Amino acid sequence: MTIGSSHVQILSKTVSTAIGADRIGSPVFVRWMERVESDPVIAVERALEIVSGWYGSAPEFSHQPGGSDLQSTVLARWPGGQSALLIAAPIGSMDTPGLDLAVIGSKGAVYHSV
Amino acid sequence: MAGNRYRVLLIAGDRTHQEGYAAAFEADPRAEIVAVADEAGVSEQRHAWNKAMADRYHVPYLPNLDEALARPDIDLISVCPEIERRGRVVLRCAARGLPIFLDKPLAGTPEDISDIRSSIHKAGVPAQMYSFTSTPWAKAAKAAVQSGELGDLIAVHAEVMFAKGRAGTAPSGIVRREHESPEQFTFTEAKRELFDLGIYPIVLCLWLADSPVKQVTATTGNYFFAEHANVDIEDFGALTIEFENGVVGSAIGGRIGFYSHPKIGPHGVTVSGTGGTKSFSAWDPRIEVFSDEPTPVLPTPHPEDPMSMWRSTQVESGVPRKMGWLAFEDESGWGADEVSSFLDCLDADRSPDVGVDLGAAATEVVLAAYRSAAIGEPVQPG
Repeated sequence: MTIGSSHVQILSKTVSTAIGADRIGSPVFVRWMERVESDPVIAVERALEIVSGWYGSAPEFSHQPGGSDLQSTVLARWPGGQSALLIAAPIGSMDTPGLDLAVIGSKGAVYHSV
Repeated sequence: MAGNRYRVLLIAGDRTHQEGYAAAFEADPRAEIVAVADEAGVSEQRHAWNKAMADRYHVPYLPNLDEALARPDIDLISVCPEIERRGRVVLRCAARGLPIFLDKPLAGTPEDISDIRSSIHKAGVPAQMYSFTSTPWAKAAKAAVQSGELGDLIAVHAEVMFAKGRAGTAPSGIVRREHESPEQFTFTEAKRELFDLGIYPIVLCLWLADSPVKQVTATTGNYFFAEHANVDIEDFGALTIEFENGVVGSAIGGRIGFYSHPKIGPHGVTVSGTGGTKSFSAWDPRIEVFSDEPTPVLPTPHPEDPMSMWRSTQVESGVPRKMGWLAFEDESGWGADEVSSFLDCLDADRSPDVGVDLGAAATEVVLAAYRSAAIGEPVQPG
């Protein structure tokens, strides 16, 4: 289980609005740290799709280290030089899914934590 | 020691990280700065900056390193020359047989890293490389890992981004290509930020994962600053670190601009185990203050330090402190805590958390990250 789809959709759109209004300059780096109950690979794939939307293209390079199946980590780079570090990691039994996001632009940044 | 105080010899002075280290030694009642020294034949500018520090602490400047090291009235050496001459200077200091406080990163070439490690081992002296392991948030992360509350460690993420400098000046539309082996590290207007800032999260990852590194994969960019672009160096880097024990590490280091964070930038660690994930930010817990106080404005950049790299030039140019977020544990103590931790180790005859071996390993990861970013493939450090 990951954070809700509706939350992610609104988040994606809100960040896009901030980018489109040139509030942070060009987006150049994204750190997506999601806490998931299950399906970390799916969470990171979803994050990669969203970030690609913000950057306006698909990544030209990505690397996914192995390690425990409970987590998923992807380092990616886009043709325009932008990059991202996308991580999905397990929550404890008493915790709820969440996200800690930083979208770093060439002259500003967007942060989101839930 | 004189009167139970460590008499500290500073190697290199102003416009280096020694500005912070010297202030931390000066603030600790167990230490006493006795002189500033450097190699004979340093540039006139370096000589002047060294002498300025000596004058500020009312101690002599000794412009001959061998003569300085021969003095009997020193108990500890804080070594902070420019990266390009760090290898040979540390070697000479190690031979003196006294505890050494090392600037970060350790050196800029594999040969220098190896020589420094060997010389300190041969001398058998305690050494500590400056890092963030003494910060409250890093110590909390370490305690969480050691307590076992998260189960077996599976991943660790660390990031240190500095909200300094006037961003938005990097030329657009140019994708910088990284070089496999960086050759120059010292510039007036900028620093290699993966090297200089990335070392912090890399050390934290190695310290927390407690395992040899298998491979490193990295990207770098010139996203923010014309100053970095003009000298063809990166202002940002990110990497994954795969450890032999199966832990997956990730690290971010870079300079993102003064206005891109309500404090001095995102600083934190996230540790994940089979039983859950915990994040530790430098800014949590905090209060947030909103008022009619003037919003901090970045002043005209200091002509000799537009990136606000040095404490002296930050003061000279009037870089304001952002006060909107007030963390419960203030960042102004981090440098002093690190120096104090070294003195604690000396007092207790205990090994520092970041000794020469961990410092060397982390610096090798940085150099591997440059190679990886250049060739677009995972690279084995060393």
